[in-house]
Amino acid sequence: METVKVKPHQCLGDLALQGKGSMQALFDFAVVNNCSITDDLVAGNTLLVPDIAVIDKRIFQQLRDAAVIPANGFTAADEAAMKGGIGYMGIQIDCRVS
Amino acid sequence: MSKIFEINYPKLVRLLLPPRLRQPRQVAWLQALTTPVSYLFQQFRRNRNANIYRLKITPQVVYLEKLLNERYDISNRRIRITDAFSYEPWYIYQIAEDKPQFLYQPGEHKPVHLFTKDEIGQQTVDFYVTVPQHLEFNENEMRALLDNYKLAGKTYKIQTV
Repeated sequence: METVKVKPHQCLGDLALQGKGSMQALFDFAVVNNCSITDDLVAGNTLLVPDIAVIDKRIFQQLRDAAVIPANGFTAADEAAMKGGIGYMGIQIDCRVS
Repeated sequence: MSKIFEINYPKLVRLLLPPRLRQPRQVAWLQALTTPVSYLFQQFRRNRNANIYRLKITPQVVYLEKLLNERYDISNRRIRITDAFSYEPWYIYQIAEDKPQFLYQPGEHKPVHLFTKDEIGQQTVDFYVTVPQHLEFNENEMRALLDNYKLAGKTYKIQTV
């Protein structure tokens, strides 16, 4: 089975888009890798690519031609904004020191 | 296969938004819109887990004990299922038969046990459910639970010991 290496800030949806041209492959990726569709991926890890045909060839080819790697995953700022509170606040971002 | 059902909906909302649109108000609004889906998903997960638990229980003794202990005696797990056994019957005769049987006082420490028909094998049961004396439980509910999981045709008796 083909594999793909996770780049920084990529989520499973990005890998589905990159590998199969559509978010429809999201659940296929989750099933072959035995993970949740919202799991945090670790950059550098290798994930399996499901054995299905490319769903949207136009998107797949455009991303490949432009050498674009989609990376819309959770960032530390997202995490802080969602959870909030001590431990997630950033000095001079949402925690002001005067 | 099970991890595919672990979906964090608030997080999914953020992930599906382009990063530049992930503003607190926008995210809060979209999360409010998806709350009913999230609620339904929680109910689905709860139902799924209950069904998985239900399928894990079989009529084997060890699983019936697990079921009863997890329902009624989660910490001490004292409910046991034992095989049926039969005691020797103790007969009482009429005066004309001239076979006296004696009952003793408590101080004499010679207890005479009176058994039910089940216990002397006249009306046999297949297994006994022994429940500790001070455990509070609803017998009808326990019977319904056991009837649900035991093999068809097996009879049992709930005994408080």
